[in-house]
Amino acid sequence: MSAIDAFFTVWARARRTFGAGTPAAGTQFDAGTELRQLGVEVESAAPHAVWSGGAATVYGATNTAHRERFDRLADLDHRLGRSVDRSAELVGAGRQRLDALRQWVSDAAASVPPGKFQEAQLTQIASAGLGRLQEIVLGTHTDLGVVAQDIVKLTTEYESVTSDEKLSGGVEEGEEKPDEATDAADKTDMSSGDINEVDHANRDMLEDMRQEYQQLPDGQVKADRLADIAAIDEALQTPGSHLIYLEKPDDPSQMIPAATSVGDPFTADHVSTTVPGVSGTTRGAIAGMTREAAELRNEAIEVAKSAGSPDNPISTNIATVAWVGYQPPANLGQTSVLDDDLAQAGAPKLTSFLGDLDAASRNPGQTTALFGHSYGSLTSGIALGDGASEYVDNAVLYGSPGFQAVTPADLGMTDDNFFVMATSDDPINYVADVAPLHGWGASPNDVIDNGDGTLRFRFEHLETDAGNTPIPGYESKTGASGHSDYGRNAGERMTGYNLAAILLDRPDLTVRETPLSW
Amino acid sequence: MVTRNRARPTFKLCAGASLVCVSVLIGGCSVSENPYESQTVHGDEAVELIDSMRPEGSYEDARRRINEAAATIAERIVGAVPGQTWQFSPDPNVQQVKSDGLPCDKLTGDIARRPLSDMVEFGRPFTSDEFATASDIVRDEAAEFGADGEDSLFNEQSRRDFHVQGGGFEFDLRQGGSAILTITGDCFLMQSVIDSPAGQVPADPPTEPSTR
Repeated sequence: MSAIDAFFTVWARARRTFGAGTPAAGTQFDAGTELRQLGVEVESAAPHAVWSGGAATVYGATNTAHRERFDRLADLDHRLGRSVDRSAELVGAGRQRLDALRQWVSDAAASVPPGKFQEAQLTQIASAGLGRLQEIVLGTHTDLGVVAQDIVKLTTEYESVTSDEKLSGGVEEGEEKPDEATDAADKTDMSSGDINEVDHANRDMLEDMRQEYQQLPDGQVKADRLADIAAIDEALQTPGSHLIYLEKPDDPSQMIPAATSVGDPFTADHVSTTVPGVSGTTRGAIAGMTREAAELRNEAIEVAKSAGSPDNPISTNIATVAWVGYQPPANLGQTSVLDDDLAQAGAPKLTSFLGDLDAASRNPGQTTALFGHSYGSLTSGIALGDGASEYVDNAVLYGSPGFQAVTPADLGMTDDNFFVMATSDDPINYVADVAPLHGWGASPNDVIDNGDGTLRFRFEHLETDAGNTPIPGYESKTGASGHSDYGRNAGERMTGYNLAAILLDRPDLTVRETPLSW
Repeated sequence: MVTRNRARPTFKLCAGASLVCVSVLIGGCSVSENPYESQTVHGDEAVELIDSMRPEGSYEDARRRINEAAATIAERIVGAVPGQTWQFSPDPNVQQVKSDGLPCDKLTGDIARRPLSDMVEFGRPFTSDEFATASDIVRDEAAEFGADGEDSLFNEQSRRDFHVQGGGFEFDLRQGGSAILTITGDCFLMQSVIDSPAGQVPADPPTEPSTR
């Protein structure tokens, strides 16, 4: 690779960190005008002089407090809108400067005449370009950091306003509470290990819940719960799927936890359980995850048939589970992504689910793989460290911000059965880099010295880029990109192939990644 | 009960700043992105998509066609390669998954699916010349489906593969531990949907348990 080619490669990676598409404008986040109008309308409902007495006084005070809250929220929305506009400007300017730099390097390289000094001059141009590239990226990053801190401060102020409301008894609609203990009678009993019995019982329970939630007063809670149920309905249209877990929350403002399986997880030889991260609510994830589970199962069968032989067959009796059993942060804009509270609350539920599945298994030789994505990898890591490793033969955590471990042993795992996947352009890698600073263990992508001068990943990495598999004659795979590709199109991607190999309890068939190839 | 490390409050700002930096670095484009979101279409968009797929025929018909094609290819190969044999995989797990098909992105499984042929297993590995003969036969039959974009990465003793794609179908002949032929298709409507009137989305089926 020439110096100029190397520059363009680095430039492309840097450009990817500035994203694609039009950055979100502040107006999308600024409902200040509407909020101020709401405050005016609330004010108009004050008791004024036509109603007096103790109740009127209490009502009036509450009314005033509501009005003030609307005003404070309006101010915060305006400030948030301005901050988002500022970040969009910085991103736009950064992109322009990168484009201009690329053009400069391209023009300069084209102007170099052939000759014995050509390569040296190209190297000088590339070197200058890389220096300028570093300035642009670091400068933009620093400026964005200032904006980010402003937004974090705003977050605290938002929390202050909304916590005042909660203290006064207000219930925020559309935002589920963290997981709470649930009455055992209101969740699946898997102990029979009979897939049809469990599936039937859960569908009956789902129907009861549908009828009950349809009686709720109109509003966000009713809409969200019925959306949970509709998403489960959609998931169950996936060929070969079963509803293996369902829980009725004590409080209808909480999400309905559920799990589907493609195939029979009680009799299969190989079972995987996938844990979603941010956005992985029941209504937001279970249908898509169940589709992905079907594709992963088919890929595992293809791998088993291709790698196996009549003398050394690999079992094709496989089940893939999509577990949406905990309340994750609804989106990256929620403050709950900043701490591990939801992961801590979800981890015991995951451990309990894996334990119940293990206890209900009718197949003593069954192997179990745990797959955790994004915030779900944090939840999975906490669960493994707290004892879920007892039920897990292999684990792959991917797109991870950290999983509270410095070595696989912290999770009850080893280098032979614990793996990480990280695409080189996954933005979560920036968060992973600071995992040690916020108590989430070592960076999942940490590179360490073997002691002999050679480098290795602290946690074994599986390949995410395009390439061939070690199975003779098996098709080559495409690469994954960004934060969302890992589990998609399992039959086509290297990430899907690696997950399938781990699901089959065959780490020896995986494609590994080294620090040099990352 | 084991007590785990909790996120240290003093560093929450650091974590928060990192996360927000990531969000704004990519232009806020991913703040609300849901990696698991179902791509299923609804309403008029679903009606339009379904009606556009009607001329392609049904999933059941497409699966029958690719199974027949797989059998035809296998028979022709066995006829052209002395000593070779074939069978559809007798493995019940494989049979089940292949007969179920795969889900489509934009329509639920009760409306449309992607057909998978039963898996053809050949009795022994092919030699280089035999694999070339087999590939010619696959190419020939794939053309009947409009598949003509072919590629092959390997044709050596330890590994061979031949892949033809196009017209909404993929034909894959490969040889590692064993020699295998599979055919897959793009999305096709279920026969029950084809039989229903155009211009409307079929009614949601009851959530009956799968029998498998």
